[in-house]
Amino acid sequence: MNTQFKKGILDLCILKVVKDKEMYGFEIIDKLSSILDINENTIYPILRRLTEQKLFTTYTKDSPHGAQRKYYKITTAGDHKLSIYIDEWDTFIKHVNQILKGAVK
Amino acid sequence: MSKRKYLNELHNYLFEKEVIRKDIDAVISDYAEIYDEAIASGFSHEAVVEKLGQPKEIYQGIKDTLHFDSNSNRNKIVAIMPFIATIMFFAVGFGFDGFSYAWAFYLLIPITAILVNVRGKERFIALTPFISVIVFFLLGFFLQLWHPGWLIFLLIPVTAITLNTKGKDRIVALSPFPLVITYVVIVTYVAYDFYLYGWAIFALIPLLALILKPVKLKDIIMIIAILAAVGMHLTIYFTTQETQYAWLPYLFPALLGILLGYVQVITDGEVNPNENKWVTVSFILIILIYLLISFLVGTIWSWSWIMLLLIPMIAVYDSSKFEHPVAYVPFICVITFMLLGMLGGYWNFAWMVFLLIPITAILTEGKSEDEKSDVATDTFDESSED
Repeated sequence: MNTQFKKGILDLCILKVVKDKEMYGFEIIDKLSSILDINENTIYPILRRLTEQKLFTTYTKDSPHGAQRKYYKITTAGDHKLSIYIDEWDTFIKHVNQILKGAVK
Repeated sequence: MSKRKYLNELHNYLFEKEVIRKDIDAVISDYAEIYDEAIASGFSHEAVVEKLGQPKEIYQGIKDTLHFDSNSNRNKIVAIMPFIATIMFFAVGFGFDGFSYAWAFYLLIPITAILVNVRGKERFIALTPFISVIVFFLLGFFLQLWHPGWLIFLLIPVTAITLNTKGKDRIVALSPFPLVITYVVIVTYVAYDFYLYGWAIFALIPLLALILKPVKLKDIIMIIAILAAVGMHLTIYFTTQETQYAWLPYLFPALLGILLGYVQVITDGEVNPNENKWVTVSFILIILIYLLISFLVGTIWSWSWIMLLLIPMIAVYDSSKFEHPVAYVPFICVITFMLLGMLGGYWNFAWMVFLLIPITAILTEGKSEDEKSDVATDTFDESSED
């Protein structure tokens, strides 16, 4: 599995978790790294890139211990991109399953 | 390594890569927040750094999202400065027979590099050693004030402390400096024998630290111990004139301070009672040896200060060992230059030692771009690779 493909999957995962719940940076890193076997230090760059691409917007809110947290929120463009990624993923999985079930002669 | 050091390294790395200030500030702000959140979640500093990655890895991950400063003129200014300094050195050396002080033009090289490449408060901190040297030499050569002109070097820690601390911490951290100045000025211009008993005023430093925070029982015990030591010291001195034993009463509060946990060492902006005590001890020893030798010999004030250059060299060793050998070279050059000039009178060619600075920099810092960017960019753990 090549690196670009993995990066694409991570984009999909990050877009999805932020769409489900607006979260701050460390919360996203913690959540994803507890599920996926990934280097935590790769998530922030993706967050930053997706924000640069206007797929996320950010706002700040006070944390319980006083400091400000930067929250990530999916934009309309991000939502649209997520739909495309999910369609691509579903198609990909469908084709892989076809192969695994011996449907390809 | 502390949070501040970690973020400083990241800042410096991005700066070296000529990332624009806005992007650097945004990345540093994000990492500061993530760092704090991770620490609040119970991770150790080492675990957080492991999670977030080293500056090089971070840069590789985000470089596609960064904007870069295209202004290369600043590097040209830095590159041309050695030639300008050399021209001025010879012009003043031959034209005004000023080889003994014309070497100061070589300070333009690091000063220009700092002005061009260092930003914010770090710029002021980095400039103070050079400002101190220039003022020290002006006072020494033109007014013969080598002593107490050396006090100008206190500008270096005073600037760093002023810009890096606040509130009561700043007051306590700065308190030794007015006391040192007062002590030296009184000894030099008012009453010479003040040096025998006047150092009791330094007891004000721990006293100030103790009374500026909520006072507990152990603080009261410590205050009484210090005041008692001062009282005994002055009593011994004025009743017996036995100066060699007058310091003994201070052993009691010193030992008590260790037992009660007051004696601590500050490293990387954090109070750490267990690490790098040797650094503090070394600093104190160097200053004591410097003052002792200078006062005893009397005629060496104009160059004995070079001993003090061991202090920043030790600080460099403590923070980065030999990671950047070039960091030591300016100090070695100044020491060599001064020894050649003051002891041998070789001012007119001793300046050549300063060429060691760029030579060392080229030999030790000149990594290729390929080597610099040789960082694994895979997003997944190696162990997860198929």
